[in-house]
Amino acid sequence: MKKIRIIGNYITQFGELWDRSLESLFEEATFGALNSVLGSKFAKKMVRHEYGTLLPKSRFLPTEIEAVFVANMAGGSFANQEHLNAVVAQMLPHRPPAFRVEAACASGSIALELAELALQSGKYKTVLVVGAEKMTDVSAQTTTKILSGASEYQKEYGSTFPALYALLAQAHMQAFGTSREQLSVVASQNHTHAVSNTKAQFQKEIPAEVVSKSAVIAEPLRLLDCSPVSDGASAVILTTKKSKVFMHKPVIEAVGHAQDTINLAERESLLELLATKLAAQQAYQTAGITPQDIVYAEVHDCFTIAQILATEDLGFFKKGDGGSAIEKGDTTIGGKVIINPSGGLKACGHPVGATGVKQVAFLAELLQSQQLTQKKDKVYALAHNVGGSGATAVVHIVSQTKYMEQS
Amino acid sequence: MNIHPAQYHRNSKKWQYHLGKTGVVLLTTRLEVTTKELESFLPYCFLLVQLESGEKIEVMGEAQTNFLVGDAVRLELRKLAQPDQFGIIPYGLKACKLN
Repeated sequence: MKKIRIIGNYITQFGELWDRSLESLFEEATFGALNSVLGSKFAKKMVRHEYGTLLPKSRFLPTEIEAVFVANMAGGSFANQEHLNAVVAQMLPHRPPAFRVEAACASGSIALELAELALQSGKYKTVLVVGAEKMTDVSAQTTTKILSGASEYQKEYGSTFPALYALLAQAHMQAFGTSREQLSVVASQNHTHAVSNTKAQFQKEIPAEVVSKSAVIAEPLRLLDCSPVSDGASAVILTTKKSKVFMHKPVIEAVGHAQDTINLAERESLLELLATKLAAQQAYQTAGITPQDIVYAEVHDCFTIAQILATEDLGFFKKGDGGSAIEKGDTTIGGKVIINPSGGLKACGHPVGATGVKQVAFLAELLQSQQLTQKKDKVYALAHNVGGSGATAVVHIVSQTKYMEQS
Repeated sequence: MNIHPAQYHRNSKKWQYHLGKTGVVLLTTRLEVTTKELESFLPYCFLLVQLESGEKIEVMGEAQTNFLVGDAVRLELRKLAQPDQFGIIPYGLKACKLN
C-alpha cells in the first residue's frame, strides 16, 4: 500500500451564500487547496489566472494535479448545471482528466475513495478532490423533493428524509429508551463545537431546551434535530509522492466502504446502520487500530439520531448507550472521543456534495494545527459519511505523526 | 408529485399485488412538513408495516389519521397526490386502520 498524504486542504464558508454560484464555490475550494500547498512562501493568495505564472522551481505546481475527482449530488436539479467534471477541470491551466462522482450525501467520501484507489493503482501520483453543493437557490420544499431522490422513490413514496430518520429514532427509543432530551443534547453539543469554527453556518450556541421546543418536522424529529440546507465547498489535494517537503502532512491510513438496502423495509434491523458498522470494521482493520485509538471523529449527523447511531456503530459506545454517552459528556472535549469538533453537519452545515470532503479536510487542518504540541507519536481521527438513510457508508481514518520525530 | 403516466402504469401493477393485504404497524412517524405535492394530506403518518404475508412495507397512512405502533391496518387504494401536470389523479396504496 502506498502512503497517501493530504498535502492541501480548504473549506469555504458554509451557509446561505446568496452571492455565490456553484461554479464559484468549486473555484474557491480548488484554489484554496492549491494555496494551502504553496504555503506561506506566498505573501498573498493567488487567484485563478495567476497560477500560470508560477515558476518551475516552485514548491508545488498546479500542473502536478494529474486528475480531479468532483463530488456533487444534484447540481442539475439545484442549479441546472451538469457536466461538473468539465466545469472544474477548466479551472486548472492544464485541464487534467476529471471525474464527477454522485452518491447522495456520501458523494464526497466516495470521490475521495476513488481518488485513493487511483493513487494506489499508480495511475496518478497527485490528485485533487473537490466537493460542492449550491442548495439555497430553490425553496425548502423543492430542496426536500430533490433530496428525496436519494431514497428509493418508488418504495418509499410519501416519505421525506426526516421521516425515514424519524422511523430510525422511533425504533431506537422503543428498544433502548433513548430520550427526546438526549437527541437535543446532540444538537446543542454540536452547536457548541461550531462556535470556534469560523467556516460554520451556525457559529452559535443553541441550548438543548430550545431544540426540544422547536417545530415538529416528523415525530420525534424537530426542526433543530435536522442539519440545515447549505451552500459550500471543500477540497483536498492527495499525493503518494515521497517529497521531504510533505513528510509532516497527515496520512490517510484507511478507508472502509459498505452498502445496505436503500429502503428501510428490507433491512434486518433498524437499530443500527449496518453499512456504517461494516465500513468501520474494514477501516479499523486496515489501519490496525481500534475505536479507542480515535481522538476526533467527524460523523454524519444529518439528524441527531444519526449521530447516536453512528457513535454506536463506529464502536465508540455499546449499542443502546449512544444517547446516554452524549448526555454524560463523553463525546465532547474532556470526554472519551471528541465527536464533530467542526460542529458536524448540524451546525457547520451540510452542502451534500461537499460534506465527505469537508470532514477529511477539517480533520487534516485540525491534526496539523496540533502537531507541534501532540503528546502521542501518532494521533488518529475518523471521518464517517453516509448516503441516504444508511444505504452507503464510508469511513476514513486519518493520522498525524509527531512533527519532531520526522525532522 | 408529477407521476409520469408510464410510471403510474408500472406502479399500478405493484400496488395491485399488495392491495387488500393486512398487517400491523411496526413504526410510525407523523409528518408536519412535506413536499408541496403532499401538503394537502398533512398531517399524515409514514409507516413501516409488517404484513401478515410476511413482508414489510413502507407506506403512507391515510391522511389526517394518527397511527400507533401495533395498530392493525389494511392496504387500500387512496389518492396519493393532487392532480398533476399530466392530468392524472394518482391513486395508490395507503394504510388504513382496521376497525
